[in-house]
Amino acid sequence: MTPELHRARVHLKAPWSDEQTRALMEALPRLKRRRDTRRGIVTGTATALVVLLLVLVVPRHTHVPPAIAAQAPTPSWSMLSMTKETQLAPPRVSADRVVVQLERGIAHFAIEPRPDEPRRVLRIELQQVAIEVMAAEFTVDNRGARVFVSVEHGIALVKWDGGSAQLAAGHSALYPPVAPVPVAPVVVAPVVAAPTRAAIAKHRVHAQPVVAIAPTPETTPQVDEVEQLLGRADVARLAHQPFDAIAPLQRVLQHHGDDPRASLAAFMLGRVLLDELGRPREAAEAFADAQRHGTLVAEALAREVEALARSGQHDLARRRAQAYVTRYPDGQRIVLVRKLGGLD
Amino acid sequence: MRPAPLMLDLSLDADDAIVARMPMASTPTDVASAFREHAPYVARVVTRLLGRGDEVQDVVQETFLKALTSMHQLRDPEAARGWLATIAVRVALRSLRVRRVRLFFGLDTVTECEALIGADASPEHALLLRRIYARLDELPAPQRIAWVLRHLEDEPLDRVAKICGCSLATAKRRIAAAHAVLETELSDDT
Repeated sequence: MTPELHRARVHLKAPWSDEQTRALMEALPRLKRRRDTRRGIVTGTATALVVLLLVLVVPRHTHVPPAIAAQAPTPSWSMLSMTKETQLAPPRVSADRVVVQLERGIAHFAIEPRPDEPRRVLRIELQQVAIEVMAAEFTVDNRGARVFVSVEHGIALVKWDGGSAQLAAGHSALYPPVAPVPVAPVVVAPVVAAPTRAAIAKHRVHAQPVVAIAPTPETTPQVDEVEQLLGRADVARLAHQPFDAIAPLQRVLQHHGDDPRASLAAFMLGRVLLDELGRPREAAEAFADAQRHGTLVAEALAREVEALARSGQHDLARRRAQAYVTRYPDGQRIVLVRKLGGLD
Repeated sequence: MRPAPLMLDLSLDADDAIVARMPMASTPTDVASAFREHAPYVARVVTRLLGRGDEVQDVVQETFLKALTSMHQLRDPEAARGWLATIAVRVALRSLRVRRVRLFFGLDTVTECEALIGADASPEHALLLRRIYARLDELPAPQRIAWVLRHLEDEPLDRVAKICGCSLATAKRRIAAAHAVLETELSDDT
């Protein structure tokens, strides 16, 4: 360092007073609090933005396993939903088709070809049948020996060993179709004209004809309108579209009120309204309807109490709960009914 | 004897004063008094580093604010002065860089160090200081800081390295680089 600089630096001032020091010391705690607050706000805002970005950007594939989701862009399907039990193998994609194996459970497909992609056939392979579509919305339920196929939009070609059939929109059927019974020519009743609700859902075939290459009309069960309507409601529920189940069930109640299955329809309507759509007030009315016939009275009454309680009609719920306790003192739902009705 | 570790409690007392406690000594120490003691030193260092007075208050305030939030890093109370200088240098470094960017975009003016030069300075000394600060503005901030600490604050080399948070060799290199630029101004005075 030069002597001149040494002498010159002595004249450098530091304009800082004791008053400034005192003011600084007084201000520090306030400044620190303000900074902490500001940091909190900035951190919170940044976190909220990141979360918002993740919610908006990350695609959501309901029930789609990672193996499927990873390969989903190749076929042209716009939607695929499944139940937890469903097992779907990863798709095999070729130039003209996408092949998917449904090993177990129920899957709902909505296939919409994209204009910017080559048109491919989607082929769903099961042990018993194969289903091919170009553009359709349909549900496949692998029930072991047979497969329930229901088409909401478009056309599906169902192939099985020894035959094939086209299934149009609004139709559903079990495949492979039941084989003719050669040793019982006198039997004219439908093979699967089962009287129970489960059987209707499992064996339902629409009255409108399905275009089949190897049809066996004498074995196709004939179903009446109530069965059709109940079946349609089933399909809607299977496809996770409970709202679509309401209209057919209400039609059963309005046009077939005297039918023994009307109480079943009312009960089903109550369950859809209460369990799936969260409309307890309407559900309570449906459960009340279901008690007009004998088969489901106890269960319907219990569910009515539940619906009334959930809709806030506690006085009515209490009265109906008392009715349940009087009529069914050993009823399966006695504990729950007493609790929901406020009797305990 | 090694001084007792200073474990600082960042809480504020009833009067909103900054309170630090030394559990080993069981004696409450008012850190505010330590801050008060070193504030003029910090202000002087910052003033000489920046070369002008208008940013000093902000930088000093930021320095003590950072010191307040990182007091747990201070283990030796005797080192408080150097520790505050280190923080002040970091804050000043950032301020100088911001100033350089503002100058580049025409949002700032060149350093006016008139306020730093005492009225008792001879015209020759005042001129020398003005020219030195004008050339310092051309230097990268780390070189400027190292040179100012060494030649205007008269800090020894090892202290310069410590305050700047760099090795001794780096500190020497920075000072030498700055000195090479300032050599013309300095040699004119010899």
